[in-house]
Amino acid sequence: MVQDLSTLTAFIDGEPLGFESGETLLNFIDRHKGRGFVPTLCDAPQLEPYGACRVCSVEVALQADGPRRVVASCHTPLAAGMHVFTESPKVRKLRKNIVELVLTDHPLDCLTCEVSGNCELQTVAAKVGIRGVRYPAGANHLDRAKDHSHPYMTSELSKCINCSRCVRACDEIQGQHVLSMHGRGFNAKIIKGLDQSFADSECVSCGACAQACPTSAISDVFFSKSIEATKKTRTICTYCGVGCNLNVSTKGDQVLSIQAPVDAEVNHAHTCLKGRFAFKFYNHKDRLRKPLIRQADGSFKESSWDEAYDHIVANLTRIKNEHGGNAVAGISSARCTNEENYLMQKFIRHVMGTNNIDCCARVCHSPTAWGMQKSFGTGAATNSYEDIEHTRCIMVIGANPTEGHPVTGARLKQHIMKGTPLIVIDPRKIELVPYAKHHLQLRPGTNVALLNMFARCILDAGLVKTEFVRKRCENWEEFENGLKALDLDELAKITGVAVETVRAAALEYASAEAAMSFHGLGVTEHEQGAKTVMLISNIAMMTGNIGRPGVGVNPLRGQNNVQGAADMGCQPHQGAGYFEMIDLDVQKRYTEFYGTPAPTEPGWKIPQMFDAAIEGKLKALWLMGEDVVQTDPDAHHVRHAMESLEFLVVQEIFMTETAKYAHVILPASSFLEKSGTFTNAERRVQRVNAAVKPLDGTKPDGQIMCEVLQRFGFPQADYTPDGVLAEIAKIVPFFKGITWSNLDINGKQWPVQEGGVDTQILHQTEFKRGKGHFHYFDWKESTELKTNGAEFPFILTTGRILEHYNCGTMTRRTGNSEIVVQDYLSLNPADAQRKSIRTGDRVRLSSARGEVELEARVTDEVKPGILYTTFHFPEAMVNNVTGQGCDGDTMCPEYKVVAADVEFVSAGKPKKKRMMEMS
Amino acid sequence: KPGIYEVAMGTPLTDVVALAGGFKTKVKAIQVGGPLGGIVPVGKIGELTVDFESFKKAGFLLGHAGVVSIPESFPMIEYIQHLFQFTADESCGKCFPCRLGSTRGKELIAKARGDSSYKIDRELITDLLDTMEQTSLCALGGGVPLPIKNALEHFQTELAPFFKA
Repeated sequence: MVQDLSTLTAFIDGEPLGFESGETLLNFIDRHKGRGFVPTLCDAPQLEPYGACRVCSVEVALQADGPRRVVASCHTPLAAGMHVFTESPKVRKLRKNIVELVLTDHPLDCLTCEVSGNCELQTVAAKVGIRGVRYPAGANHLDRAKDHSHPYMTSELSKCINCSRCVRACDEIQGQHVLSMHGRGFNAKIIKGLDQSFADSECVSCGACAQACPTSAISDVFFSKSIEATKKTRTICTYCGVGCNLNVSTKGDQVLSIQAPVDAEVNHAHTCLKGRFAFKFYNHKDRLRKPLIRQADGSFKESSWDEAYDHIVANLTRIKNEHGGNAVAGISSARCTNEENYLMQKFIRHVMGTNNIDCCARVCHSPTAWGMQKSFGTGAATNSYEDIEHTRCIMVIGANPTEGHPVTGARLKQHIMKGTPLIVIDPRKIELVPYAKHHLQLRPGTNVALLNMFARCILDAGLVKTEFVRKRCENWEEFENGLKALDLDELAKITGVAVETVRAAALEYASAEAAMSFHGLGVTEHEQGAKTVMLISNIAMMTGNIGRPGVGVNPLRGQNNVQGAADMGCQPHQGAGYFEMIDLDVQKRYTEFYGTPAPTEPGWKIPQMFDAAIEGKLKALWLMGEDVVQTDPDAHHVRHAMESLEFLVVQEIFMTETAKYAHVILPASSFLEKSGTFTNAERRVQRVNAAVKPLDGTKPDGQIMCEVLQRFGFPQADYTPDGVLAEIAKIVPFFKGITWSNLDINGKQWPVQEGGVDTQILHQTEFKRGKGHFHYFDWKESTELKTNGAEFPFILTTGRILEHYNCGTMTRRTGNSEIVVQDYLSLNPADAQRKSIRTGDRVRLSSARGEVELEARVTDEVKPGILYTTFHFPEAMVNNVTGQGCDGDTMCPEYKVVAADVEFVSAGKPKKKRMMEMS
Repeated sequence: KPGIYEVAMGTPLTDVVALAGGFKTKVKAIQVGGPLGGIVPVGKIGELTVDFESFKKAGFLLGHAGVVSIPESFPMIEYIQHLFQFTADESCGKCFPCRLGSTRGKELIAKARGDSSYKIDRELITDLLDTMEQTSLCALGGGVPLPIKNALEHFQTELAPFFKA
């Protein structure tokens, strides 16, 4: 037979089939015959080929009847015209013999094993037809002790088959390098850290190893590989803005465990300990299960839903009639779905008749949305996570992705470890810093000064892409002139970063073929937050890093649906789809669409709502899933606002610090109990599917909003996720092509054209606003420091850690609280010595607003003069010290710069290992 | 006269043995080419010349051409055990056939030597050797079956008591 070897054709058992360049034999066989057709023990789709078990052995020949050779298909590259024999008697026998050898060192207790029925060894043994082990009893490792030291991770290494999948998962997926193979030959064994327990090791409990392990050798306390579950539901994680897909295993109404789907485009079989393990809050005893109405004596009384709704309708109607709709406001939640946010703003705008609707994007990425709209026309990430694969330079500004956005953080780390240069601009030595080529450790509050230096260095080096600037952008001259007037030495003093250090990083970024920037709240939560965002946009434009693979400006959105909450119109100035509410045509459009008049006056932003409440102008507030008392800055002020309200409605899953001030509390359902969509940080709208029915007595927020709309006489259909999504698609242009069914399993990235064509990269041929607009801004010292810096000489900056999520309402009610039990205050060794403070001591942190006590952690992760803490625990209430300073353009609070002081209170010992490690 | 001798390719193996001064004691076989080289019974020495083709054709391996002599008095079964032991000691542990196979092979031989009631199943040892030879990741696990197979073939009578009929 004559074959054309130039085409990509090869043969499986004689059948000619097409292959893709670079494929291994096993990829080729899997694709055509299905995964598992050729058995394997060490190969896993989420891992690189390894070639250890040899169970995937096949015979290959260059001609159909030519001499054959046995090769392991997983790591053998395919060549054109190759004949692969997958089922010859010879390879069948070889596979069987290998599996028999494996079983000589494996406990034969399948019936009682947690993974029985879902064990890859069991499956492969059955497939190759093992009936018994012929070898006499010999040396074995059946006596290895179990490790139950960790709140989540477990190991039982007597079940280990030494396939190294866990080691590779730890290296190739998480990049933590905790697991390794110790020793060699027959006694080679898996160890954690320096042969420690899971709890003592530096494991970050992402669970990638447990998911990759083919047996139960490494598993978790939820037995996530058992077949106990009767149903698996694919949904989206409710923690950060990465938007990991999750497979939730349930039995009846019990959530048993969570795994990460291999075919998830966002997270490729990976997720972090929050997504995988921190779900036990969902049926925690503290969950609210009955509506509560505040009584005259201040206590709460359980009520029926009807009573609660009646009470709400009566009070809001009265307040609206007496004081007008503008005396009412709503704050929706970026933790809730698009549909719920959409309904909430519809209720506030078209029933209450006011633009007083905002969401927690205000306190995180409102400067991003606003700033990027000014620069590019769209307030969202220009590119996708997938672009990480194509970029040649990564810049991380004011973000700590390995803690805040762990799956994206791990993906970035993988590429950085493989040689992509990294620039970190952050006041702290974050986890990525040791991998960074450039770390610009600036003083908090000097982002604009530093990025101006950065841009000026690019200009001075002649690296401006003038062609791109001329064709695609406008107002360059203003920016150029501003840069030229800068005194770099002066700025170096202000930022604390030498000009040459900035120059080296700037040249790295500007000369890379494709450079991609990521930023977080270290950019936005400043007095010049939006200005910094526009400056990052300028730098991307001046270097032509927009509109192609591997580039762009990419905010790491904090919450699972913070992109979506703003998209849905939960902002006082823009309605659903980012239409300006002051525009008469826009008002007309909404009025026609909803059949009730759209509000015309501009609404209040969250901080303005608090002020208005205290001034008596705001009478009623509706909060959906937002704990403003614990999370918004200057908690005293927020409490005062809550106390001043005549009527406060809180939709919540737990009795939060804020809910304590409510007049009506409506018990809502968690993400595991509801269906809708979340939009992640790469504009990907993904389907959230209820894994269990709502906890008795609770209702999903979407259903609550629909019922409320109905109670107010609005012609609102009952809640269905597809129904509300269809309505959104009619009014939000970039949702036009989205339907519940076409979102399928991996969602779609907006804008989505009619017919469902989505968009991975924005601004490819022109910017949304036409031309990219350059803005120039001078750096300004934070008012907080100018006002209070003399009395409070330290600068406090805040952030979060891997184990906890924001105010910890959920994570503190899971095993994560066993891993990290409290907030702590980081300070530099030089400051610590001066103040006689040691790691573990109690210290008092104070500011012009108030003081809190925390445990100290002495570390060089911060420079002298800088303090850092998290805000996860109500016991600490760190927001008692943060201030009311905010971004001049969007009123996003200045959490990242607080004039503070610290003093020793009492000696102590560090509470948790991880904190000692970090110090 | 053990040492290093340089001979032209194609030199009869007998000449090499002579160069080195012949055998001190009575020898039943030589292993040529290191621990993974073939085991050549003395009777076959005369048929071989020092080149790859000659060794390959006869089912042995020239390898680095080092020669180790196995005295008449040394039990071949013990030599086989030594070969498995060597492989087990040297195995890195990555691939399953070598990591597990070398130890199980060693145990099979040891059991047969220590327990006269235990006889090794011929199919089992053949399966083990074929599997190691064809599926090991590197030449260690893939190489050791050759000398063992040579020994099984050429010393059938001596080894018979350890195997099932």
